[in-house]
Amino acid sequence: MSILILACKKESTSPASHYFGFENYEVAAQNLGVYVHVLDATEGGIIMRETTYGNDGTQWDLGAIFRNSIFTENTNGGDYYINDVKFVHNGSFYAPEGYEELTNEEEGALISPLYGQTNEFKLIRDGEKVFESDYYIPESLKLFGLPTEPGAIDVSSSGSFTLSWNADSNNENGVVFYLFSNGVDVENITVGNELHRAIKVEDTGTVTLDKSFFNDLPIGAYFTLFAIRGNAELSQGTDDLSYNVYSITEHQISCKLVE
Amino acid sequence: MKTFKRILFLVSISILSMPLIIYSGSSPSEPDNIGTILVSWAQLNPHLNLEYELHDVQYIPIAEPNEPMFENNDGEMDIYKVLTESYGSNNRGPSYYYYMHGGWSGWQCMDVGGQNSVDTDDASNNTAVVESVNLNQGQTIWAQIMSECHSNPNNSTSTNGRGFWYKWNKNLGPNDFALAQDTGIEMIFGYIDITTCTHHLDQDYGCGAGDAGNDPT
Repeated sequence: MSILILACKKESTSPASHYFGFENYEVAAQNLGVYVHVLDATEGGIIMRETTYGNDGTQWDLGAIFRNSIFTENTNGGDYYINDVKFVHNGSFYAPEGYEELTNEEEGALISPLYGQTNEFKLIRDGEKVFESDYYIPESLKLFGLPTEPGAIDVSSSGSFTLSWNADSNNENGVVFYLFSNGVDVENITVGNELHRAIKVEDTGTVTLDKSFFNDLPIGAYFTLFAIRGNAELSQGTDDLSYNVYSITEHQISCKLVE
Repeated sequence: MKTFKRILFLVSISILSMPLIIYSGSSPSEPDNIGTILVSWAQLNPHLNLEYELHDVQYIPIAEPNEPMFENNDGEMDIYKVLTESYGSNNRGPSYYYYMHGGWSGWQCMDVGGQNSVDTDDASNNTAVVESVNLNQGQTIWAQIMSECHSNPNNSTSTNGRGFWYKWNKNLGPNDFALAQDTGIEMIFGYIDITTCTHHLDQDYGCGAGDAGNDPT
């Protein structure tokens, strides 16, 4: 093998790549509702994310950020709270008080109880409340009936594809199904265009994705399908800065398009 | 094949012109903010039975990337070891994993001959640097570890080959990237598939100009 390192730009760099496949932010917002807030940059905020990978386990992400203006370095903006759990800035980043750094399991232990209930998020600075968001976080989403053998799931190009999950009747935000392909053909060693496509459906526990959802994917293409549920809220702080709190639960599966 | 040739052409022009995309709607309008993010090879969920799946009639020893021979002193996956120590052999001799990661702005590839995108500040060799990421824009960051794709070691002729690979990806927004500046991003790779290849069986697989898919003829 050679010593060459490739660093390449995609052949097609459609802006739709940034908006779940929609042509711009507004159209994405119309189609996806609160989920578009994941795309919003703010000075501060709290991020909660539970990601389940096929049958391979779950990863939790829990953190908070503050910067005096967007895209400057993170700093200490006060103490964040999720209900009674206090997040303090340790000089490098925010962590729950008493923790230097959280393991995946510790993050899961903190996050898991918050799904399926209404929670309070706030920032306290110098004894004053800067912002507060209170909202319901839907239950942790799990897809049902996935094949037990390892690897990508075959999806027929000529038929529909049905997925089932644990419905949450209290979730008013629906469930987003997001398809992503990075365009890498691992058999022929080629790199094509990314493909992004998303649809929001009612949280009924089942969806049948029409074959048109997989249009533009060549036979043999590998892609990831994300089932995403959650809640998000943008707030204006008393300091006139913006705060974004989103709480996501997603289950992703790897798929291959077949005849 | 044609696309891969274009990839090489793009090597020379890729960094010259970064895209200019501006937020609209309620999302703030900000200029591009091209930076890097650190991604650690936190976990790999293996197939566990590749030796039997790759060839119907013959046991072919395979070391998946999470196996102890590729670990650093902390028990983590060592990127250098995964890319430079042979995981098995094929009709061309010792075989090696190669690796790609990227996002909307582009991608990087690392193989046995070069690991420039490994975070050299991290002595554990467990962290890679995704370069040229527009941190102002939501996008899906991805990474994959790929084997070579060749016939078994006792088959000296270039008949159909078989390979296998692992992938991770995550959809992230600007605030996720801000958080990642503090904490990095942990990747959990999952086994994806065994692939069959009929081309490039007389070449190594990897990132270089002489590797599979890059035959100028």
